Amino acid sequence: MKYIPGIIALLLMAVFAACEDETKTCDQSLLADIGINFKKDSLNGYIDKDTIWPKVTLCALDKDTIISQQARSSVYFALDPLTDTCRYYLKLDSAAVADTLTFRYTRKPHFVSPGCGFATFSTLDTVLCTFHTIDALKINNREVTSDNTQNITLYFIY
Amino acid sequence: MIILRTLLYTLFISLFAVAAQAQVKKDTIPAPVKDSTQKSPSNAGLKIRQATTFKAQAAKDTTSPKAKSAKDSAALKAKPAPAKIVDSTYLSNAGIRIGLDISRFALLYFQPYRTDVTVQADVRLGQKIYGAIETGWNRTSHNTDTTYSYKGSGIYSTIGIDYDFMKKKETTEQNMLYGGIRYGIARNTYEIPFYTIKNDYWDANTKGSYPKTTITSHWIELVFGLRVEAAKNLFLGWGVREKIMLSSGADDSHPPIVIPGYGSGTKRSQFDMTYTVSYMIPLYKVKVHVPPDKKK
Repeated sequence: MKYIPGIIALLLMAVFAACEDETKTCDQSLLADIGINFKKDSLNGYIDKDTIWPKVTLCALDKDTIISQQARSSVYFALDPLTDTCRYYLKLDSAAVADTLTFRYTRKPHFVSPGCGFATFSTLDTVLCTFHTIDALKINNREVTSDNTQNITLYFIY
Repeated sequence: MIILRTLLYTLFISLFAVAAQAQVKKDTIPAPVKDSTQKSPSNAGLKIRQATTFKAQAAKDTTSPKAKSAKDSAALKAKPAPAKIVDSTYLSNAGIRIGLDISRFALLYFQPYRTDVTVQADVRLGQKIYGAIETGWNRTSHNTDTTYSYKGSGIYSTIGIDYDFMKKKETTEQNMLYGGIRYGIARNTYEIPFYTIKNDYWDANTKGSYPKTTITSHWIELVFGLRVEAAKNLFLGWGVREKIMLSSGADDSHPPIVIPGYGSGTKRSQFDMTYTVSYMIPLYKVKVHVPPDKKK
């Protein structure tokens, strides 16, 4: 008889776990955004520190603005799910000259969960950019998924 | 809707809790068994090594202070006393026990997209060891109308052993409190006839499908449960399981929603529970040795 509370607790746990309807709730993000963070490059790369740009403006070419003159140390945005390439306009400060980022990638549909459905994940092939304000670009992770990874680091010297 | 589901969960759990309590209570009450001293060992299917000990106890009982009058003594003699085991070897009924997991039908209410049928069987291999096998079928069908639809079906089997931890109080007792391990294998086919991915920023609506795919999965199960003989050879039992996936064989980008016998195709491990009604067909007898009671 002394085992009854333990048995009931075990049953409770098992029932909740076993009877969960996974198709009812979406508990994961469907946003498979590429992440870019900003670093200040000093002493020819010997010291890299995260940096915040005061007035960041970001948009895809010929599309609506995603971020408009906001202070940011990183940005997240979606790659075009209909084509294997897209271009973004990035202006880091009102006084700075804007740069253009060009992404080439392969797309693949990914089943996120029974409750969420599908998202488009991508694998970066090439990333090109102009170097008006940007000093260097580094690809940290080529897989663009829904786990909020910072795929690219942009380095600046100022 | 959430409140209704919570209420139903609570009701479901309460029923199981009450059932478990009733079963355990039943276990604690010793069922009347004919006095082994009055029957020959061959007739009872019982070999009592220390018959003299039993006789001595019976004699002691009838001359106890409570039984003062001769009338009382006769009444005590007529009543069948439980055959307590001190140190003996006896033969216990064994055979193949076949059952149906009725929790799979209840699961249809909570997870309406899946239909499962599970049949279990076990055989007694030794005093405390049972060989267990389980087989079943699953069909999964899910349609969200907006994001994706899914169709799948398959079969599975598990094989393993159970160890009975319960110390028997009577020679006829068949109840068991068991733990065990299983190896499971499933083969299922699934397809995604359509899916849609929306992207508001790019104003894109990507549509596609995933072709019919057949996979084979392997997993290990750790089992713990209780099985009680509710009527002669008819057993009721519940069990909890922890299932650990070894290899699902599915593409990471398109896993199945349900793997037959395992459950969610997107999880590496998971809990499950069963409630089984089973019937034992007695086929043979197993020799059971009970060590001497240390208290005495």
